[in-house]
Amino acid sequence: VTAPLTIEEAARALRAGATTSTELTEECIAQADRLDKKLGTYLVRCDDVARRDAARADDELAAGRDRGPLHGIPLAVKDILATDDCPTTAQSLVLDPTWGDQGDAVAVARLRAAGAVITGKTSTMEFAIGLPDASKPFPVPRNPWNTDLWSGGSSSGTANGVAAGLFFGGIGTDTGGSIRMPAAVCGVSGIKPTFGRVPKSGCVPLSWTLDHVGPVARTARDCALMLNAMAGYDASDPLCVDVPVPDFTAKLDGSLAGTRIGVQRRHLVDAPFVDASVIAAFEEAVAALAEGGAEVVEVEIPHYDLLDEACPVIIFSEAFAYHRRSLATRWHDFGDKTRVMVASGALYSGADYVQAQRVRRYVREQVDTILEGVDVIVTPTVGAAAPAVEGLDFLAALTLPIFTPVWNALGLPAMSVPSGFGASSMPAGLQIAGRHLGEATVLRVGDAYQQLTKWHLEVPPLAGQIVSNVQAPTPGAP
Amino acid sequence: MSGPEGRSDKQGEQGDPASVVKALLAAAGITTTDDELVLFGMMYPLLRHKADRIYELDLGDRS
Repeated sequence: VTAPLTIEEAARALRAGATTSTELTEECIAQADRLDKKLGTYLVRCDDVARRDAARADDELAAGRDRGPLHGIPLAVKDILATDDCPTTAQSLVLDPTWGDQGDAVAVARLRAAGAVITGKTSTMEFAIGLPDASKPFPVPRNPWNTDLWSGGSSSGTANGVAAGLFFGGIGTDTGGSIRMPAAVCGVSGIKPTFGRVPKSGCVPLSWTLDHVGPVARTARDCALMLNAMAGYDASDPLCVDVPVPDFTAKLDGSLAGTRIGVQRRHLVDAPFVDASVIAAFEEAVAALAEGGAEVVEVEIPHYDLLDEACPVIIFSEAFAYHRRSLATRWHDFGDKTRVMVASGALYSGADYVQAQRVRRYVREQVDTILEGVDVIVTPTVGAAAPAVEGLDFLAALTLPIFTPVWNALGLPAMSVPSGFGASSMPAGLQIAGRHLGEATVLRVGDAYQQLTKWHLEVPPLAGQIVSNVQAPTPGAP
Repeated sequence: MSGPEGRSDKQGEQGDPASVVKALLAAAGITTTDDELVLFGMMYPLLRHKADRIYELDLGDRS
């Protein structure tokens, strides 16, 4: 007997009577007992609530009420989304403790309505920005593949918890790569949907025009299952798009025939600090997609570097607008790195912000044209291994080459799937980006890649030793 | 290329960086530590250089 590794497997096992939600939840709680302190996954565990909800899920299934594939599945929530029965801190001493009293964020409520068992609130960086800060009373998230290294951020605990088997999936948020980057360095999958596809209501804002809410899970198919529940219009978010939501699993047939994949290489080559092993893993992934039947063509996003420069102008200006009053009155309650980063928004002008938004709109038009000729565009997600936790500072963070922020500025869907092992034998990620509202195609390509490879089934030795009966493949051998 | 006025936005180009930053933050009611002011002073020229680059794209009358 092999313990379920994915939401899909767990859902199947539940309906086959091979396990119960209570058993799945107890296994996740036991895993958290063993690993949470080492990994810094949780800000708050909700064991009792999870046990209660798991029992309810079992009762419902026994009574013939099946809420769908997330029914009875243990999932976690990044602690910048409000939840009914757990406090919300945004990993900060500054956030008003009553902020989370508004009740479940829309995305959380939708997962609960789909039957998910919420296991707790996961660690992040303060207000989803800044860097791990051991001087504050919050966990420092570590990478399950090497606990000396960072798990990435800011959906840090969500990604490292999925990788280490503390839950099957979780909600992350992504303003410049905060779903995709930790997913990549922890060896799991995550998708930032189209801007507005998932309501942001109930999420502590970082940057209103760049924030996205999305799922992190082991596979593209699991992400699709979660997105099915999370996506859809809600009037509480004025930036939410009011369009029909397709079944994101409907086209996950493993086929790449007829799929045109654009490969964006020039800015990979130009980027400093990119590790050669990451490029090698990326080229292997592109070759696998081609061997799987996709047509691969070169593309080049015009003014990519300028759009990349526009991103921090927007993020820090908007973050500063949100935090300015608090920075003036509670400077020392912020983490030392957070306050410097957010206050840097004061150093831009109004004209800078407007010009950044103009650049954003212009490049989006160019990319839309490119995407008329290809179905998706692929790049590496991150160009190097995550930096060490000890000594992690601005220099280490700023020199980490990431290829994610431009997709936030473009508002287009982008996901990361595990694509092998690169720098320092740490996981590498393949980023797949698509058209406006084109999540189904992005997920189809990600799923097809995962049917061609087994990187997504790799389990960190730290977790594999104690996840019952899971056979961890040898790293480097898909 | 440049914006319609033929120059980029050079806010705060005058003066030493730490003093400029101190003034900008003070305008927002923010007082930092001296060490942080030094850090801001080091960051500021790079931040401005990067922000000024986005004006290289001549967008004409586009919104």
